[in-house]
Amino acid sequence: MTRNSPPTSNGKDAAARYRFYGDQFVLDTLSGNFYRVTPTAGFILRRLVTGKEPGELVNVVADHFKIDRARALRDVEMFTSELRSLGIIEDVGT
Amino acid sequence: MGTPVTIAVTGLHRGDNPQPGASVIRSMRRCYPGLRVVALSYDPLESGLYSHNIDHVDAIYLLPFPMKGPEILLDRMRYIHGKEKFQFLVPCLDSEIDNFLTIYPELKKLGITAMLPSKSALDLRAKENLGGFCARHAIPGPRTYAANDVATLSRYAAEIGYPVYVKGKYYEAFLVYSQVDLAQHFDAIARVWGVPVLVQEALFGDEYDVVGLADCDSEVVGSCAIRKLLRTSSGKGFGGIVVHDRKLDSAVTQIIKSLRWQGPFEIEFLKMPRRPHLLFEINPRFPAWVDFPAQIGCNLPAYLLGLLRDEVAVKLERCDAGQMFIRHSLDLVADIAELAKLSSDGEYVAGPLATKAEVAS
Repeated sequence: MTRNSPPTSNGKDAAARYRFYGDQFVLDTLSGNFYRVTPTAGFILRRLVTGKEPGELVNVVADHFKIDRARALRDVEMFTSELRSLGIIEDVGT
Repeated sequence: MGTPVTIAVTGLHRGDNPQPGASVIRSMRRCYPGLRVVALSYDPLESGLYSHNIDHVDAIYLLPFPMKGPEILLDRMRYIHGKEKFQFLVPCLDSEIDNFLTIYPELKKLGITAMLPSKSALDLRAKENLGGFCARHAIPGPRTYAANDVATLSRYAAEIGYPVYVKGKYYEAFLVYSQVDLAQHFDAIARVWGVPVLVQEALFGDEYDVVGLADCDSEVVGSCAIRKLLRTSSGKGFGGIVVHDRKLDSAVTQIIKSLRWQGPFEIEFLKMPRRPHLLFEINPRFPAWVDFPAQIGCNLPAYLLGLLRDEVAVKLERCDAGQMFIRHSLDLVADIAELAKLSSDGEYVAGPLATKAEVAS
């Protein structure tokens, strides 16, 4: 292994993999891709990458945005599907 | 006063397809400010010859083009060494490494040290052999074939399916969509770079680039991986961002071990979603962006100079993900007298003519 290689595990430590700069900018340090996101997307993504369980995340979203649980569930599922299809959260345990 | 540490460097042009020499000098002088540099140049208009900054050169000598062969190169190197007594050599261009390898035993007798790969390692990573190397070592890569004539190359292109890349064995690549295009580009490439000409599956994705240095045991002593952020129309990276990817690091280690490589390298990969990194190219030298990691703790050229001097003068840190570079072009001021002397005499020892006022910049 390269002697000056980073000590982090390969994407397993998702919280270290993603860096947030304010509410609307996130860098994926594994791929080098970076994204402008809406504050709502940033809110969900932050919690996803720190290992929040989907069920728990739905409750957090419902509470935070004062919406009913069914709508929060749909929004979280749609968002995570999109992230997966883009390959952004393929290694995140969601 | 002892003999100054003097190094000879090639590849000084920093145009739209920048060569690495000026970056190598810049990085080395960050650790060795008193370093004397002899530029070995193929063209009096190589831009780096006219720099008065930290990457300035102290003397310039024109070299015969690589196609002239190793014997003529050796004659010229003997002449230059007789005048400059440089101790170290860092070749920075793909097309010249083969000749330098051939004459290296003679250069060593003159007291010139370099860190070059073995001939077999150099050949294994050559563009025309890279497909076979990937297949033998189960390294994912694009389908690539080499041919000496246009009919064979067309057959390979049809097998892959258009569009395909047509590539020279050293430089240049064109995306072609038809057999007519392919024939035209085959001729253009063969005329400049000779045969074989390569045809390669056209894949599109993010480009990753790893610069590194391997010691004589093929251990990667330091590396830095980036994703290319900005690309010129010819695909050259004009900006990049550091990434941390263990899989990429492992792939590099496997490649370097498999090649039994020693010395500087640049390895280029392509990544498509949900597929592994595909090995695209292995270049036997530092890339033009090598001074970027040197500025953030991973000074590979200075480490190389330390290895050549049998000392460990530099500690290589890991580059932090998210650090990025953006290339910035500048206008250098020169006097036609410099160009005239270099063109006429084939050499130019700058001495007091080169202003040193900006050396610290």
